[in-house]
Amino acid sequence: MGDAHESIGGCPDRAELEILASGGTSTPELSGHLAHCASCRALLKEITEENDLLGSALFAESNSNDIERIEDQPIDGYEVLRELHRGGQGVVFVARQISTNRTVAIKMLLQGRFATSSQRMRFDREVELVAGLRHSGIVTLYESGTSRGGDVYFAMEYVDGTTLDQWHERVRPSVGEVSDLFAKICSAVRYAHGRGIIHRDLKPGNILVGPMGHPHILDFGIARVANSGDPEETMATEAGQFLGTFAYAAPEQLEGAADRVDVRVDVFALGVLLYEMLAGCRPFEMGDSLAELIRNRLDRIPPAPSSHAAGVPLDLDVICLKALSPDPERRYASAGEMEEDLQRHLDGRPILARADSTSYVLGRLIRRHKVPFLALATIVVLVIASLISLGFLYAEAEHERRVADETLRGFQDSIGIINPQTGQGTHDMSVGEYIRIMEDHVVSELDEQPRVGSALLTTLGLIELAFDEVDKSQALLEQALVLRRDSGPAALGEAYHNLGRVLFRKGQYDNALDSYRNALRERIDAHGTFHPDVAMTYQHLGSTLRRTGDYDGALSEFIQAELIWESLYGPSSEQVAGLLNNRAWVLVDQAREYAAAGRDEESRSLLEDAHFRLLDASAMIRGIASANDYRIGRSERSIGQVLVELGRLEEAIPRFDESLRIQISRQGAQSDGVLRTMLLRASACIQGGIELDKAARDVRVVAEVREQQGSEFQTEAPLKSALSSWRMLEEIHRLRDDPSGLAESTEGIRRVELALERLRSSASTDEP
Amino acid sequence: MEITRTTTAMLDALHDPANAEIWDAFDRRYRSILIGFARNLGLNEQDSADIAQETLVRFVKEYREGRYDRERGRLGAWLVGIARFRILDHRRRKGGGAELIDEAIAAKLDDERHLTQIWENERRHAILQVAMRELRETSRTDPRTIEMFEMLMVHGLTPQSVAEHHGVTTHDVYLAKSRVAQGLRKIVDRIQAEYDDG
Repeated sequence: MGDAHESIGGCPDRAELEILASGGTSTPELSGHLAHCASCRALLKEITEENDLLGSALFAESNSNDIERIEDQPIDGYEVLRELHRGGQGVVFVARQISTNRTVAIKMLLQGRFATSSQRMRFDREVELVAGLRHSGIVTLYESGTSRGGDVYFAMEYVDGTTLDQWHERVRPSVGEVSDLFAKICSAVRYAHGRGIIHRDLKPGNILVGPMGHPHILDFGIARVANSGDPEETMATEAGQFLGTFAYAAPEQLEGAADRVDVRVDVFALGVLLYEMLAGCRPFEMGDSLAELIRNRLDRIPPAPSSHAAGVPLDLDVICLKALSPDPERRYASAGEMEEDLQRHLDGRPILARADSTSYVLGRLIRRHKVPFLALATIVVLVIASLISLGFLYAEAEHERRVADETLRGFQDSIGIINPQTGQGTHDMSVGEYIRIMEDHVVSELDEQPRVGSALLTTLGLIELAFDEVDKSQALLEQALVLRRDSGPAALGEAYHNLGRVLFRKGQYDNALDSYRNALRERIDAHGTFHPDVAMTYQHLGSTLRRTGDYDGALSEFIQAELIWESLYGPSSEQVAGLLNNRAWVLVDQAREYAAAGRDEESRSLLEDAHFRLLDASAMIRGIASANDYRIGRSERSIGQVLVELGRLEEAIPRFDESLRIQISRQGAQSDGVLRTMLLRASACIQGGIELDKAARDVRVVAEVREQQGSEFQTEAPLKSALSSWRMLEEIHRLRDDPSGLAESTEGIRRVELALERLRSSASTDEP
Repeated sequence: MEITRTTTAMLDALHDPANAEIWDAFDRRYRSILIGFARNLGLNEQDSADIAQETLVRFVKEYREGRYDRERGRLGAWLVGIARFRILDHRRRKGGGAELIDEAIAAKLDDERHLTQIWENERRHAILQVAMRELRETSRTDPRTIEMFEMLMVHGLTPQSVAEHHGVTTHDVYLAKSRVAQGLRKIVDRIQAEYDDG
């Protein structure tokens, strides 16, 4: 460093470079010399870096309070009143201009005279740019100068307003009011664009809405002169760092493609802002890395705002999505064009950016994809629920999304008009037959739409899973996975997760672990860590590890999930309570292992711990739910189960009773949950030899309902459950020494065994 | 000297709850970053101090329960996660459950990347603070050089005044500043490496 660079071949004195590095102006001679002398450029860079380091360190050391700093070193002509806003670089104060007695806003660099050279350069540019702008929608700059302490500042118009997001929150504007405000914002941005200035950091905090609802744009701190060939300009704005705010940045800004940054980055930001105001949420997921962020913006067209908020007219959907096009060429060419369309919409005239009409295509699709009727109400509910939840997966391209939505709606319509009482020729249709019909449609009619196809396969796979048809479910979900290979990480993560579920159900825990780990990778890639889907996969991973006996691993995954839930929903949420339950069950498993190894004391201690965790979870749920909430019912059942493990049977039975009371009131007397709890209660009664009559009644109900379900749906799972229930009843009758009951249960066992055999043999003859 | 351990060594030593010295060092290292982090998110001084305290206590608890798994992420990310949640919780409690968290803060808390950026800035700020202190207290840079630097950069005197005061040329004054900057850079790099280890 230093001397080696100096006074060689007419090089300037170090002092000249020091002055230049500190913000001084260059002479034509010095600039000419620097253009040719690499060693002087290197020394200038070195000095600048050293100054920046020292400035930052001294600022860190001083840790000064800005308002005190200014009070100590006042700005001539102003009385500083209070701090208004603090941004990444600057701080804004409210002050009184003594000569005019008017209130002004004074902006200073946060680091004051310790500011780095690039911060000073941006500050100076803002002064220069705003000074040339005179528009009612852009804050007016009054003057700039240096405080007595050497801090540069500028005084500007003070707007007694709120930021755009706060305005939206407080005013809850109508769609019309939002459109009107945005037309004005676009007008102001158009004015700046017309003077060759790109704002580059339009965001809610940079738009103030005054008391009369008029917008004022501020903070041109990172603005750029369009088409500027100034090399300093390029240096200042391409210094390897992203300038602007990620959420509002256009893809080309995120990519750092300085040559492609033009007025259309502001159009993009206006699109994000308008979207937020209309839909109530941001159009893009933030992602976990810059690469992911860019990919989100390049690959994904967000769903229309109207899909989030009813009442948003098609025109505004179109305006928003046009502004948000990843390809700048397809965006509005300027804020003025966007303003024109907003104005047309406000005037009730047709907008210029009408989207391609898809109604013809959609109408045709709906007609093509009508499906046969089905009279199984249970399936209908499942199908509709699954379709609705899966509908969100298609948000990757607007056109495809609409096609998918409409196609799915076609299915829903066809299912929705079913009347189970009058459905023709459908009463004898089995689940399998219905699903095969659906599959045919997927394969024969939707193979041109892989996203739709994969979603329907997923739906079918989940239906099969719900009916314990695990092999069929696996086949369908694997097909769906193949179709989703190129559908982006969110959809792929979903597919892996679902496949994990079926593998788990099949007891293929190692494969399930692989699938869940893949899901986790994709989901983190798609959403970042703090996302419900990620927490859910962690949770499933934990449950799978628990089944493999890796209790530490399971706990570790559960803790990850718990931290995410906690971070998303706070310390006392349903999700956190669920995790406490999961963790309690790991302890129960461990306790069982200890018990089997004769380590009774340790086992008991773990069970006690599990019991307390379940009580915590129960208290948590009671804190957030009504007294009859189904989750309380589930929680009571878990506590009952652990009390059974602890041998505290008489305490366990009232827990099961409470659980049943809630479950029956919520789900009906013959729901799955109720039947399962009845069996648990009965089991406790058998173990303690207590309330056997009631236990017998409950178990008989379970056995009969399951048997009926098995014959109706022609599936194995309910029949297997019926079989074990009849066997349990047999045991109760044996304990009660009741010969007639014993005969009845033996008959039940024989009947169900026969039904199972018939079902298995018919399944094997069906196979090709 | 205040910071002499890498984060790995520090975390290893934290397993011993009785090691008061290491807990002190950990506290010194992260408390100021956490306070700055919360301040940056718009909280006042007192609330920020509370957040820092709650975050550190929570971290200690989680660390002892074995929840912090280094393979799953850096210590900073872990602390940011806890602090984020503490801030949400703090605001909620402060509002008695009825008052919603300030919109501007809520938006910042949702922006993971922004939080990371704030954390990194605060960490850098803390490193520079520690480095400056070390430079003044233990550096081998000669006192006259430090004095020239202070007059120039801290007290804002012109290079000419400083040169006159010390009977040297302005060139010497600039070189003194440069030597200080180089000394500081070395200290910063070393501390940075210690922090980065986490």
